Amino acid sequence: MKQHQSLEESLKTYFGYTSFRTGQKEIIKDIMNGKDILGILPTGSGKSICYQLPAKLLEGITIVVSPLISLMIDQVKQLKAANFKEVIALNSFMEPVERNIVYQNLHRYKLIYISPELLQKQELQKKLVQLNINLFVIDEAHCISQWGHEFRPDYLKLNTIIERLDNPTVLALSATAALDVQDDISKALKRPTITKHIYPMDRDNITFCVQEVSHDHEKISILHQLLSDYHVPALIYFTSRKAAENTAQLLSVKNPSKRIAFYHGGMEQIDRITIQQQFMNDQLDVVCCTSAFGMGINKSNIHLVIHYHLPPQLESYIQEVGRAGRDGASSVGLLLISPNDVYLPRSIIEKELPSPEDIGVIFQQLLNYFKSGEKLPANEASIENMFQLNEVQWRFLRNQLEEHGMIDTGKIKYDKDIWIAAYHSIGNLINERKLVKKNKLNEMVQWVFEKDCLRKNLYKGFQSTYSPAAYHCCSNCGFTFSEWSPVETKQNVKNSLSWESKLKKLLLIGEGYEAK
Amino acid sequence: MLVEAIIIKCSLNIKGERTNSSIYHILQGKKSIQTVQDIHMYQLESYYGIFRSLTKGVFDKKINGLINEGMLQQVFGTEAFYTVSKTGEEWLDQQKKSNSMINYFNGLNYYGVTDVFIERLILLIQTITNTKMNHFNFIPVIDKTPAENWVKNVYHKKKTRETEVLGTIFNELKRLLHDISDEEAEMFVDRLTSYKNYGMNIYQLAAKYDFTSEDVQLQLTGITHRLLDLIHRTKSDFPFMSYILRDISAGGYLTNSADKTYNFFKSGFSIEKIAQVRQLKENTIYDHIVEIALYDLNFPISHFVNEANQEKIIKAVRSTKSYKLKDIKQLVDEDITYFQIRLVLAHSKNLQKQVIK
Repeated sequence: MKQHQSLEESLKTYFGYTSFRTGQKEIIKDIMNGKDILGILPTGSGKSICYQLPAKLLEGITIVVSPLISLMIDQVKQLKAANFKEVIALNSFMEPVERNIVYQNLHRYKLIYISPELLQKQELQKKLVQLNINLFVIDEAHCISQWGHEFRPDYLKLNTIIERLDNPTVLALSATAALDVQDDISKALKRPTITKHIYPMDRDNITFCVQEVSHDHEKISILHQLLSDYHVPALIYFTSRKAAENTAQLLSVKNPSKRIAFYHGGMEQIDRITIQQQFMNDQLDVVCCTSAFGMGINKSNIHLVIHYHLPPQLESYIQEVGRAGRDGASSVGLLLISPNDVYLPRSIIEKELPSPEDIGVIFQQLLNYFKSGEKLPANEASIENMFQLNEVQWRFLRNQLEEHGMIDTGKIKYDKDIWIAAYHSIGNLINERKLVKKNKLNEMVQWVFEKDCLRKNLYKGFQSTYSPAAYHCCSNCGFTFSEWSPVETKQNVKNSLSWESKLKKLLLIGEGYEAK
Repeated sequence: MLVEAIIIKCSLNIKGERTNSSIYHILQGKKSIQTVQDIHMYQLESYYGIFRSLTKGVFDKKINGLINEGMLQQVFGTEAFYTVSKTGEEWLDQQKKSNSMINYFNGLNYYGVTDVFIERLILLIQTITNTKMNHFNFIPVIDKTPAENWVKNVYHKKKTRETEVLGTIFNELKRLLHDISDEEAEMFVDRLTSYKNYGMNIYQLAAKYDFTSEDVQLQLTGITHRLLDLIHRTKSDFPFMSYILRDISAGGYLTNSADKTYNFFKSGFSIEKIAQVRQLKENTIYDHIVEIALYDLNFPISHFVNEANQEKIIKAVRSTKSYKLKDIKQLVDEDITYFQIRLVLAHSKNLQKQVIK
C-alpha cells in the first residue's frame, strides 16, 4: 500500500478533487484496512470514488459488479478521460475476438467492471481465479434482495464467486436500500457482521410538490408554463420512450426559446453521450428522458425535476428527484398525476415476468425439444424469439430452469417429477414477485395521495429521521410555485450565425482562443 | 422522403425481378455474393452500403408506407416482389428535381471509406480544439478504437501546432462546403463537436431540419460522399483531407471468403479440391467464382463455359431482356447450368463497366 501519501493527496493526484464528500473517506479507510462494508450513500454523493480510489491504491485488482451496461461504459469513459487508463468494462456485447484478447490481458487492469450475467460464465471465472483480486465491489447491491425493486437472480450467486476468489474485501453499495433490504444484503453475502456506513438520503433543499390534473393536456400546459416562468436546467421523467420523444417535440414548439432534447435507452450510444454532454455543458436547458438518464450524470445546477408519469416505486422516485439541487440551491421536484396514471405501471408489472400460461406453453416446447434430442439454440435472442419472451422475461426464466436442473449449458434434462415441481414453484415465484412490485407501487400511490407532509412520508421507510426543509417543504405544507424564486441561469441567445461563421468559431479561428 | 425516394429508385431498376429484401441488403451493404451481383446487374452501385445502420423493421415500415401510398405494387402471384407504379415514377421524378441529394451517392466506391473518414475528422476536431485550450478531460464522441488510434497518432505529430492544423481544416472544409447547398453545409457543421461545444445528434438534426431521423443519416452519408468526390477530384487542393484519407483502404470489394477461394484458384486448385480444403459446399465455391468474375475482367470464364455456350447465353439474355435466371435457362440448351449463366452475366456486366469507363 502506498501509505506515504494521505488519502486527500491521493484523491487530488488521481481524480483532481480537493476534498472528500460525506462518507467517502470513512468507507475508503475501512476498505484499505480490509473490512467488509455495506455503504448506503444517496444518489450523487460520489459512490464510485469509494472503490475507484482504493482500486488505484490497493495492490491487485478491483472487480465491480454492476447491473447496468450503459452505466459501466459511461464510468469507463469518464475514468479514461480522467487519465485512469487501466480500466475495462466486460459485457456480453463484446465481440468474441475482442473478448478473447481482453481475457488474455486481464492482469493488466486495475479496475474491471463486469455484468452479473457474464460473471456466471465458467470461462471468465477460471481467468479471474488466477488473478490477484483484492476488492470485490457490488454496485446497486439492493438487486440482491428479493424484496428490492430491482431483484437480479444472478446477484444471489455472488457469494459463491467471492468464495472462489479467495474472499477479497467486499464493498456492497446502494443508494436506496430500505432497512429490510439491508438485512437481505448482509445475509446473501454471508457477512452478518459487515460494517455498515449508512448516510441519510433526505435532501433539505428540494421542495416536493404533487399536482393532480385531469388529463395529459393539462400536464403539457403546466410544463409549458413552468418552462416559460423559470430559466433553470430541468429534467422531465417519463415512463415511455415515445412520450419522452413526443413531449420534447411539443415543448420545443411551445417554448421556442428553450433548448429541449430527449434521451432514452433506445438510442445509439453516441446520440446519448451527445445529449448528456450538451446538458452538462449548458448547451441544453431541458431533457425529456426515461429512467435511463442520469446515472453517472454529475450536473450540480439542475433545479427542477418533473415526473410526467408515476414512477413504479419510491426508491426510483428518490433517486430521480435527487438529481436536483446538488449545488445546495433551492430546487423543486414536481410530480404530475392524472386519474389514469396508475394503469401504466400496473401493466408494466404484469408484463415484466412471463405469465403462468406462458410457462405452461414453454414447458411443452421444452419437452418437444428434449424428445427431438436437440440442444437449445446458443443465441439468446433466438430463444427469446422461440418462446416469445422479452430479454428480461427470458433471463428470469433461464435462471429458474437452471436452478431446477431442467437445463444445463443449453442441454435439456427431463424428469417428470422435477418438472412438475418446478412448474408450480416458478408459478409461485412469479406471483410473489408481482406482489412485491404491486406493493411497491401501492406505497408510491399512497405517497402521492398523502395528506400529511410529503417530506416526512417520503423517507420514513428508509431512515428514522430527516432534516427540516432549507427553503420550502412541500405542497402539503403549503408550497405554491408563486413563492419559488430559484437561482436562474442566464437566457441563451439563439445564435443565427451562418454555417461559415459557426465553423470558424468551432475551429477556434480568430481572436480570443489563445490558450497556447 | 430521401429513403423512400431511393427505395423507389432501386425498385425501378430491379423491375420486380428480386424481392424487396434485396433492396434492404443493398442499402445496408451486405457482403454477400447475391447482393454484390445485384448491384452490378441493376446498376445500383451508388446505393450500396449507404445506410449501414438501417434495420429490417424500419425498412419494412417504409415499404409498407410506399405500398399504401400506391407507389409500389405487388407483382401478381408473388409475395415480396414489387414494381413501381406510375404514381411512384412521377413522384420520384419530382423528388429528383427538388432534391439534388439523390445524385450525391457513390456507395460502392466509398464502401468502407465513408465512416472511417468522417469518424476520424470528427474525433480529430474534437481532440485538437480541446488540447489547444489545454483541456484534456473530454468525453470523445466517437468511441471506436481504430479512429481513436489514428487520432492519437496524428495528435502526437501535430500537438504543438494545433492552431495551424485547425486553420488548414477550416480552409479546406470551407471550400468543400461551399460546393454543396447552404442547408447541407449547415447540417454538416451542426454535427461537429469542438471545445465546450457538443454537436447535435441525429434526432436533434431531424427536429431542426424537419426530416425523419433516417433521412438525416442518409443526408449525412450523401454529403460525405459528395465531399469525398470533391477531394478525389483535386487532391492537391485538399492536402489535409487527403492526408486523412491516405491510408484508408476500401477493404477490397471481394467478400473475405471469396478472396480466399480466389487465392486457391490462382494456385491451381480445382473447385472440388477448394471445397474439400475449405470444408465448404461446392455450390458455395461456385458462388465465389461468380463474385470474382464480377470484379476481375481477366478472369478466365472459358475455363467453366466454352465460347459457343457463352454466345448462346448472351443471345438468350438479349431476347428475354431480363436478368431472370429462370427465363434465360429456358432459352438455352439443357446442359447449360445456372452457374454458367450467372458466370456469363457477371462477366458481361464487368465488360460493360469497363467500356463505359
